[in-house]
Amino acid sequence: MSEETVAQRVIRIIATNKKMAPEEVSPATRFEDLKMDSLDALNMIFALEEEFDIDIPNEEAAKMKSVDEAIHGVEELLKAKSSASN
Amino acid sequence: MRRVVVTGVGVLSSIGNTLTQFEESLRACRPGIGPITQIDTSRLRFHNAAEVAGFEPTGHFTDSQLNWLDRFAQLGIVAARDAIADSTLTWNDELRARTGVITGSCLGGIGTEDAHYFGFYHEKKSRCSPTAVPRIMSNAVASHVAMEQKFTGATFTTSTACSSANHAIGQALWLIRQGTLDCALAGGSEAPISFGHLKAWEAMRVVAPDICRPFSKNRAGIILGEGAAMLVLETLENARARGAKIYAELAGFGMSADAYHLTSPLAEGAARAMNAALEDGHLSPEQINYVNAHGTGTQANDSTETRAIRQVFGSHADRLAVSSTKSMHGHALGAAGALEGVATLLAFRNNFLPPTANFLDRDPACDLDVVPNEARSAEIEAALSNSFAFGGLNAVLAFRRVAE
Repeated sequence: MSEETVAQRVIRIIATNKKMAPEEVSPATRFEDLKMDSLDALNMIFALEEEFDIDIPNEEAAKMKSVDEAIHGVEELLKAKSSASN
Repeated sequence: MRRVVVTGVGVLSSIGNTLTQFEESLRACRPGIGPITQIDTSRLRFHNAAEVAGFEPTGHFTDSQLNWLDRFAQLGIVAARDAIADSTLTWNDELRARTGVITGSCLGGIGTEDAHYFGFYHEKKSRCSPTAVPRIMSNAVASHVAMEQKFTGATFTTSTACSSANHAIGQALWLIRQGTLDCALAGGSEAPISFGHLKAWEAMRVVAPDICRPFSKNRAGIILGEGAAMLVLETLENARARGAKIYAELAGFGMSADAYHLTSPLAEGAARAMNAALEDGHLSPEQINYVNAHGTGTQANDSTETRAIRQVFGSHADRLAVSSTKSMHGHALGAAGALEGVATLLAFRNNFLPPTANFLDRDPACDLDVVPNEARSAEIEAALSNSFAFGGLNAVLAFRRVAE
């Protein structure tokens, strides 16, 4: 089995958070379409932080309004993390 | 019907540990917000709070007393002592038997709890102090004040998050009004500065990184506050008979549940609590001049509270002064309503409107007169003080000017 990509991991986290199948979530999915309220969003951000061992600052969290934006945000934070540890 | 008035007040907060200091700070629009000193914040995303400054526990308690007292209890007990002294009431056995202590606290002795867990989990300690349980219990203030003063009437504690103190003060009003008590100490206290607890607030992402700016367009959240405030409540008849100074009548109390969402506020729920307080106090919306808002400084609260105020007051909302003193003393959670009650009572007694500090740009969603950045002279006839808790539990107090 090939290793999960960042995008796949983000989608898995979001799907788990909303109790949906990963196939029902695509990069284009907007959180408002998932009927995600403020607590759901908080829980999702927390789950992403745990999954990737990153801190998502409030201003980054505020930019994540779709799956695509969440994937992009996580990728950027992972890049920053790996360059910080180099 | 028995009418209930406030004849004594005690307060400890980041903007003053005496009534005089507290009033001076409100009038000068001087926030008590700064870097957290009680714990190391290097592993926190926020670093500011409104801590009580210059409080020296050993100046108020013996070492053996302190062994039984978490900081939240220390603050609450001192506030109660100050309120009792301010009331100049003369106590006898009969009055003590008909006096109760009703306090609010959201967290109880969470600092003690956090320290014990650190000991067990991190330091691998195998035992803790036998005073841990009574230090942690949320009713510690009510019990200690009752024991210290020999008050033996109805005494208990309410814990409804950010509405705890208003629920406590409201219950005290009704118990006196219905004849169960003749006198009550009522208020709240809170000491939330512990690492474990602040991490929980960090995860909620509602704490501002710098300062609390209620009703401003770019408000970024709450600033947590520490403090305690207690009120002496008695009947108008008794206060007049003994020639007491009267801050104001506690005229009404209203509560409601949003039954909606754990953290998102609902304007209709807040409005129902305000309407209930007006009705309970036999006040019309047009009689109100001032609202001490819940005004937490979160995007959600301040716009929702504005809508709720407009629902209740209609066009009279444009003639109301509405301010958030949390901009100065922070959000003291279970003590918030008590601190804000004191701010409101001082406004009555000394004829000024406490301002909303740190105000920047207007938000069209908060289009009220929020008394920005400067206290104002005004004679208030009647006022509301709002508290709306996580969990959608709302509690509103109504005050009215009354001749001594």
